[in-house]
Parts: sequence; structure tokens; C-alpha cells
Amino acid sequence: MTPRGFCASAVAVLLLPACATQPVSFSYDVVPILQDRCIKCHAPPDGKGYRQTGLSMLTYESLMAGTDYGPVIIAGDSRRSILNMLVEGRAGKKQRMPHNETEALSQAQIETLKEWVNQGALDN
Amino acid sequence: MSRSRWLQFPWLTLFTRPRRVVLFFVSCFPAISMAFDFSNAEVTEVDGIYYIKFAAVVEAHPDYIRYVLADSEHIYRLSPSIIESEVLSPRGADDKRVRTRLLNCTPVFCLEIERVDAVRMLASGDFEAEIVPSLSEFKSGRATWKIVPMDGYSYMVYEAHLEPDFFIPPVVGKQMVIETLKDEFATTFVNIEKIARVNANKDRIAGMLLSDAGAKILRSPCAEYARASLQ
Repeated sequence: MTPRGFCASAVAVLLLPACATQPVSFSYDVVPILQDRCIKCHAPPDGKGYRQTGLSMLTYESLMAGTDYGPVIIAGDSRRSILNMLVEGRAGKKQRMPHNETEALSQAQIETLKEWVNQGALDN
Repeated sequence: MSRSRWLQFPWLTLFTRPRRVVLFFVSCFPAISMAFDFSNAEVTEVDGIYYIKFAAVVEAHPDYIRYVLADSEHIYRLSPSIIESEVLSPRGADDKRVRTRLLNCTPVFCLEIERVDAVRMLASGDFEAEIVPSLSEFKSGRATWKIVPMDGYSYMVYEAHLEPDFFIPPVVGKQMVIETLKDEFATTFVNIEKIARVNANKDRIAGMLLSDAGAKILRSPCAEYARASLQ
């Protein structure tokens, strides 16, 4: 490695914390998205999504508990989290969430959910 | 063009073709290891072809196991390694194509692998999946899921051979792939059993008869193929 390359690497490492993404709050950032786009179907006792899969998004605990078939969030790993997969449309058009809405989540909403999961899906 | 992406430590790129490599400086999460009581769990590699056989008693009725395997729309429920999935338009009555993108990690490196399988339900009630090489990162591959009734439960046998069309580091890499596959199938068997039991329980609560489960398979996303095979 050249001295210039070494310096560039050192500067990059020093700047990393400053470039880190802002913490995403469950209460302030995630809950509004869930309330706006998901709760209509994923709330007990009559929400269609809740009745079909058992997934309630009413509380942090119920969200983390997931569906009758298993968790939908793997803390720290949005790539493998089913919640992220479905809102991003990675499981095909028919499975994209929300199902019954004409519009998918906005890119900003998708990014917020992704960041929250990648930051550990905390109850913060 | 290759769709495979290596997520690995930089030194491993020395052994790969540069055009295939996209580096991600992220930590890799090892495969989730789950216990499953396999009566047979073999993964071997000969001349670049992986031979896989897993067999176990699964505590669910065969029809519910078949329903899980037929439900390709929800294939992502079977394993956290499936990070993308899609049922492609069928080309014919006996050819349902399912695209998956898998993220598999060994303790040292991660791989993203694209594959498309032509999935068929056979008249026997077993399933067969054949890799479509032109759409996959495998040169060839075929898998069968055999489901044998066993006192209300099922004896499930998965057999496959896969010939990857991507680089696997020699010796250590192959062994890591073998161990990762074992973990992966343990997870998959656990999830198949769990989903089958949940579905059975839901049907029981809804007052459905067991015989309805067979009919349910025929209403599944693989309906026309299953119908064609069962006739």
C-alpha cells in the first residue's frame, strides 16, 4: 500500500462514525409506518392479515413474535427478514405488502424499516 | 452474465474471477443451526457435484407436507436463506418455474446464489425439482422430495445432486459448504414440519376434514400441475 493509500484509508476509518446512519426509533419512525400502512389488516381480532397468519402489529412484542409460521424479523439482518422481503417486493408481486393497497410503501418507508431491522430491531 | 455475488473476506477474491466478485464489507451471519433428528444426513462432493440426501420422520400428515411443498408462493417461509422468491409464469402444464435467490453463509464467506427450478408434483404425491441451468448459477441439478405415510406422520426423503456454476474455494470451502448445507436442511425440515402442523391445526379448528387437505393441495398454486399429474 502506498503512503497516500494508507492515509486515505486512515481518514476513511476516522470518518466512518461521522458517516454512520442515524438511529431509527421504533416509536417515532417505525410505528407511524405500521399504523399508516399495516395495522388495518394486522390487528386482532378481525384484521384479515391477522386472521390468516396470526401476525399482529399492535405492539413491539407481537411484531417480533411474528406469524403462526415463524418470526418475520431477524434483528440485524433485513436481507433475511420476511417483513422487509415482503414490503420490498422480493417475494414476487402477489406477496408484496401491503396486499390490498394500490401503492407500495414509499422508498423512504422501506428504507426506514430496513435501517431499523439492520440496527437491531430495537424497542426504542 | 453471472448473477452470483461473493460476500467474503478480501483474500478470497484472489481465487475468483474478478467480474464475478462484488465485495461487501459486512459481517456474515452463520447459518442458524437447528436440531433435527435425521435418520440420514449425507452431503458429499465428487468432481464438483454435490450429492445430498436427508431423511427424517416429520410429525405431520403427508397431505399437509405436500401442501407446504406445493405452496411455492410462500417458499420463503421454509428458510431464512431465501432472500428472494418468485413463481414464474409456467411454460407448460407440467412445468412450474420457481425462482429463488439464496444467501448462504459459511463462517468465512457468504454467497448469493440465483436458481430457477422447474417444479412438478408427481402422480405418487412426491415432488421433483429440476434446475433450469440457463437461468441458474448451477450447471445442472435435480432434487426429489419423497413423502411416505407413516402412522399419521410422514417419512420425508430429500435427495439431490447439484453442480454449482460458481467458484467454491477448494478443500476448506467445500467442507464449509457441506456443513452449511446440513444446517440449512435442518432448518428447512423444522420449518416444513412447523408449517404443516400449523396448517393442520388451523384446518382442525375450522372443522375441515383431513380429506379436505388433499383437495386443498389441488387448489394450491401448483394446482394445474398437480391435477395433471394426479389424473
